[in-house]
Amino acid sequence: MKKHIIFAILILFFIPAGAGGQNIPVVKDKYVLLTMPYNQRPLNLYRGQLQIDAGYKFAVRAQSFDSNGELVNLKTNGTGSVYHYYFAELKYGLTNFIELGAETDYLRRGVRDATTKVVSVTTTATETVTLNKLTESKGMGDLFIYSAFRLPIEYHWFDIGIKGGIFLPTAKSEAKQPTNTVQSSLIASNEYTVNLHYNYTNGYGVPVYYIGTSAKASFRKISAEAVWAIRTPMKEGTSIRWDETLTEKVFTYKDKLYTYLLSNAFTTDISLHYQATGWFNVFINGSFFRTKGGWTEYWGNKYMNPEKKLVNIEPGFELQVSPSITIYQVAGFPISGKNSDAPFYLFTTLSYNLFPIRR
Amino acid sequence: MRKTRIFQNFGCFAGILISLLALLSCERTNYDLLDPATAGKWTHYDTSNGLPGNTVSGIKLDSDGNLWMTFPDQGTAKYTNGAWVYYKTANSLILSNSINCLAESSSGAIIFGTTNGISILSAGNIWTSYIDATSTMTVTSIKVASDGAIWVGTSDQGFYVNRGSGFVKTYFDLYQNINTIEEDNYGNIWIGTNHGLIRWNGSSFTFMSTYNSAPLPNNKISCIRQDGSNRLWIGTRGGKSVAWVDAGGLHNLSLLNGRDSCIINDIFQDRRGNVWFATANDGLVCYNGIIPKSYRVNNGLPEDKVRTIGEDKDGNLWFGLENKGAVKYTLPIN
Repeated sequence: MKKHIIFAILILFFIPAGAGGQNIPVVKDKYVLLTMPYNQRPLNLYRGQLQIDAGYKFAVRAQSFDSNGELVNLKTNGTGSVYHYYFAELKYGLTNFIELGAETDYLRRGVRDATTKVVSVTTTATETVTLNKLTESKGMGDLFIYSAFRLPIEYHWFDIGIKGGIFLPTAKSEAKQPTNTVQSSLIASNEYTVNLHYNYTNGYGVPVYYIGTSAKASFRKISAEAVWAIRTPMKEGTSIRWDETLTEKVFTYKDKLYTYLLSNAFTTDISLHYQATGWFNVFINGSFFRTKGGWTEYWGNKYMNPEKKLVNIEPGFELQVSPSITIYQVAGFPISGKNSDAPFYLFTTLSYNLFPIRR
Repeated sequence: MRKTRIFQNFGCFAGILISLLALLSCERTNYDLLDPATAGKWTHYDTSNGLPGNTVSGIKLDSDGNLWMTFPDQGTAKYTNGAWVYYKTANSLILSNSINCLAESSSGAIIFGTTNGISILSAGNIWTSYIDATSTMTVTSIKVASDGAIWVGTSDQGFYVNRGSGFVKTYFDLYQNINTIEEDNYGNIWIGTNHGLIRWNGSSFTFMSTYNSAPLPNNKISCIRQDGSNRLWIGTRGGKSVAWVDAGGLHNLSLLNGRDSCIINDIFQDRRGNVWFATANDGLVCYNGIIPKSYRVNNGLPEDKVRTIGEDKDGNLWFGLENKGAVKYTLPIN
């Protein structure tokens, strides 16, 4: 707690000093600023600029990487799935080198396991049980608030920025009670189907810090950008698991507490951009994701969280439709990984920019 | 003027960077963490790596965290701090090397049921024993009840109860072959015999078998276990299913896809809530509350004849085998 207070004091102490000493770019016309091509604009928004982003990611989880880094085809064992990820962000250029923002997301995914059949014989009857399993994750993500700072000089060809923020545990993180059902067969009295339906949510459950740094350099129409970031939990969390018992075709549930410490998550993105025209930029990004540390309690023992790795190649483009609207489109192709899903995905983001207060 | 501003701005930039990096040093508690790669694994133990015998009759975790095993012909062994300590007639005052079962008393003493009475190992390595001078006391089961009473079942001489003033024998015709004794969550003592069940409710005995219309899978009750979900499990020798009793009455569960019969040697609930069944010929069956799943030789078990189940202080399951020692199973984490 003491560290958080020190952090807040440091922020309060430094922001006014910096805000008074900013450099205003030469260009002041808002339409020129709004239509600034990627290779000519800094890492942050301009002073007074407001950006609203809305994104949608559609991912096909047809394969995953196991603990040895081997690719596992999920379609062949019947557990392939898709997921839908929605994202919204609001950010504002407080000055030409300080940006404030907030973002959140919504995730919906369901993983079906292969159907199994079990023959059950009691002293009174022989029954055939068909077992279906659906593991669903659904819900809002946590609210992420952040500040981003860039070099306090005018952007010519090189820029460096840092970004710090926190994921506030606003979303529900505990698994909801399963909604299993039992369906009797209309044809045969000794047959029934058990539908297992597990309901997970999307929140971290604890505050999570985010610290990132980025650098960008441009040479004529070519630009390169690198972003490195870490997410680390503030503290250990507590959540629940559900025990279920099927008795005479009726489910009963009981929850059990467990503790956990989220892993640190590291992301590195390195992208190469080409500004084809003033309104069209194509790029290719290499994304490396890795987790380390953390643990989860299982049945009274604390186990290290498995280390995850995932490398994606993401070609994409940035299309300026109007001075206010820009479309970003990215396709993700998993290359290698470990202990991780490896979905192919399409990520579309619509960005709306404006200067709400006239410059 | 411009240089001063740039200096201020750089100062701001550096200050924020330092304060953000300071957050990385969050306070964390250090724990001894387990490797997830060890979860879901089977580890085999036999005479080649420390067990005194390859037939295990009983497994019990004591209140000090020691894991005890008993053997029908090799005495008993205690697994503590990564090493086995053996107790046999040759190096201790135990009555016999032929031990069928064990339990821990309310005072922390370990009670061994032998083929010729019971031996008790108390603190300070003090041994005491009890034998019945009138008959051979082949102990098959021991239960220390919540009131501290020690219930001892025998193979053909009924059962003995010690409520603090010595063992008192109780014998019922037809119900004299005791296989198992258990206490339920209401304080009732259940005794499994070759002729059905006996229930002691604190004041009287009730006898239950298929002969008096009790819906048991079979009258040869081999084991009874109370689980953490308020279910009293009843395993039999030869029934098609295993039974459990709860507030809703008696239920049956088929373990082996409707096989004509199976012999349940032991029942145990793990920390995860799964109920495990040791069978005489069909390996292990794990019931997760919805469907049973079999574990046999092709799943990692050294053999399909399993006699007994126990748990160590870390929650690992230990299965005592008929001919091939014991196997430790670390629960999977998914």
